[in-house]
Amino acid sequence: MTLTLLVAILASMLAGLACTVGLWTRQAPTFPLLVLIASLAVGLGFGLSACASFLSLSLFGAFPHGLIVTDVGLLLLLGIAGFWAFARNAPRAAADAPPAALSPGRLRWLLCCALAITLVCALLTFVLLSLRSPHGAWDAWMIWNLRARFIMRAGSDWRDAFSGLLGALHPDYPLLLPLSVARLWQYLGWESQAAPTAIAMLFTFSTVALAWASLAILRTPSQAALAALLLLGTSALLMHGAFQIADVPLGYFILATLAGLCLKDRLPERGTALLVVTGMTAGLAAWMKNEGWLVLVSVVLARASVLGRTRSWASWRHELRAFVSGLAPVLLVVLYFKFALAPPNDLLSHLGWHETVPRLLEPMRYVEMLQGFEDAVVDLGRAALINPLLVLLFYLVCVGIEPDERDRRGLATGFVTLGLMVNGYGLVYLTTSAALALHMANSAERLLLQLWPSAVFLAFLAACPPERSKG
Amino acid sequence: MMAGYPVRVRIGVLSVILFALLSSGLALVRALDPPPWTIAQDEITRYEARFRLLRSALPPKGVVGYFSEPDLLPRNLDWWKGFCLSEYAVAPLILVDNTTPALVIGNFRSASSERNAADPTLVLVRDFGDGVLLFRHQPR
Repeated sequence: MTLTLLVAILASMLAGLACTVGLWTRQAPTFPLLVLIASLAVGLGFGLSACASFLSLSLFGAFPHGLIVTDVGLLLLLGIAGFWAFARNAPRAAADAPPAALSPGRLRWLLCCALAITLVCALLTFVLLSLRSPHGAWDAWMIWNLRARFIMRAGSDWRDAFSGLLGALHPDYPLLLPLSVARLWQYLGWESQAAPTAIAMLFTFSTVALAWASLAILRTPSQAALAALLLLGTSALLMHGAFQIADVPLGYFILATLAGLCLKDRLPERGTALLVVTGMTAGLAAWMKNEGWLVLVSVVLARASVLGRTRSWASWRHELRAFVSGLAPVLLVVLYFKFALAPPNDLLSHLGWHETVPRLLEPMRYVEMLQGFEDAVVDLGRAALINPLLVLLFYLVCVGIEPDERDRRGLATGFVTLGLMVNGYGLVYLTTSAALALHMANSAERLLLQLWPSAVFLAFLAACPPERSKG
Repeated sequence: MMAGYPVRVRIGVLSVILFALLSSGLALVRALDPPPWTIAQDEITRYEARFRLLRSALPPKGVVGYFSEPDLLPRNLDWWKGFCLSEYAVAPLILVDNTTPALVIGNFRSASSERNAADPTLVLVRDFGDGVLLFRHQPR
């Protein structure tokens, strides 16, 4: 079973790897670039495989081993395209900036040892929590794994998963996760809980790897190690990851999008490839959860506002073209799902003017919302020794802020995106027809967790690396 | 350990390292309490086991009704959890929280619970034990 699962995961990762071909060079990549490519391949691979699986089900219906056949087709298609692109465009030089000088001896060893110990503890914790709750937390089995069961078990009636009769079980939620689980089940031939667990594990640890690799390329290895330590020490991230909550993979896609834009500013020769990948990851955010639409809109608006202030609109249009070429195929799949299959969303369907405007004009709702966010920030650190946000702020106070001039646009895009997203979440809460306090108690912490990896990445990108302050 | 660095930088770096080591260690200790191998089965697997026999008595697809103890109000957390877990167990059948469909599942917290069907036209098809029952509508 383990080997079959590995083959299934490898198949999707290879498809993802083909999409990152624009980052490859004819030289052996540096270790951070290798980790970056591998961690991007996880999300791109699972995301695109789920897109292909959905198209296959929609066009040809369910047939025995249909999702596996689709996988092979996708792999061939992307493999040939990737090989062709590599042969034509791959530069001889290394794609990433020359790695910064490694931190002097003792600090380097201290960070390496701490990272190794923390990583082992995190992996063991993840495995133990997964063994305790193999079906995941409530949302995992009620929404994502339930839908995967429908797709796996219903055969030609797989569309039953989106029946309006299942209204309270959110049948409108997008399908990246359920189709990924169903795909692995089809490889295995049975509904092993190892499948959703493996997906959750890959997304959780790829998030940390992505933050580490991006910062190792953009800043210094010590900054990268400290960011990875902070993320691994965030117990909420590990717990929600192990409980198969979709907010962790969504956080991965937000981070991939923002890190991709920062890397694009620093590596202009690989800029187009990075923008295409960024477009894909932003689209896959919308294929992961409905909040992904907010990610997409926020990123586009943030980038437009930053480039509009600092450079010409022409460069934004140029960027947008590459971004859209990565985004469009994924977005078309998500739009097809939304318009052809998904029933109306429960939050949006209760947003009539007569109900919404009074909610927006009620001052107490604003107070209640702020209280809810405050509680969510506290909850983020409840399982940890100290709230990780406090540790991050303390670190920033200690080392100071000193961003690289070349990262200013990426940083501004990232912070504006996160700001827009928090405001977007706030607007959803203000207009919700559900009891606001209960709604926030059930979801606000998870929403903040979506933003946490990106916030850590941006904070460490802006912070002054320890090496620079050495006398 | 970090000679040559300003004190504030040393404190900053060590605070992140200490936080990560202590938090991940604490998380591991909590995950081991109790060790998962001492727990026979998780809640969802246990719940699903109650439905194993029922699943074989149900059609492969379609819509099935659902009712539970009369004292559990619909949308009460216990009721809702029971309903969702039942749906999870019988998927791809679609479960609806009424007794209109031809077949209706009764899901009670224990075998000895009050099992008066909400609908008098329902007749018991089979009692699968452990509070899981299957009803159908008697022909008019």
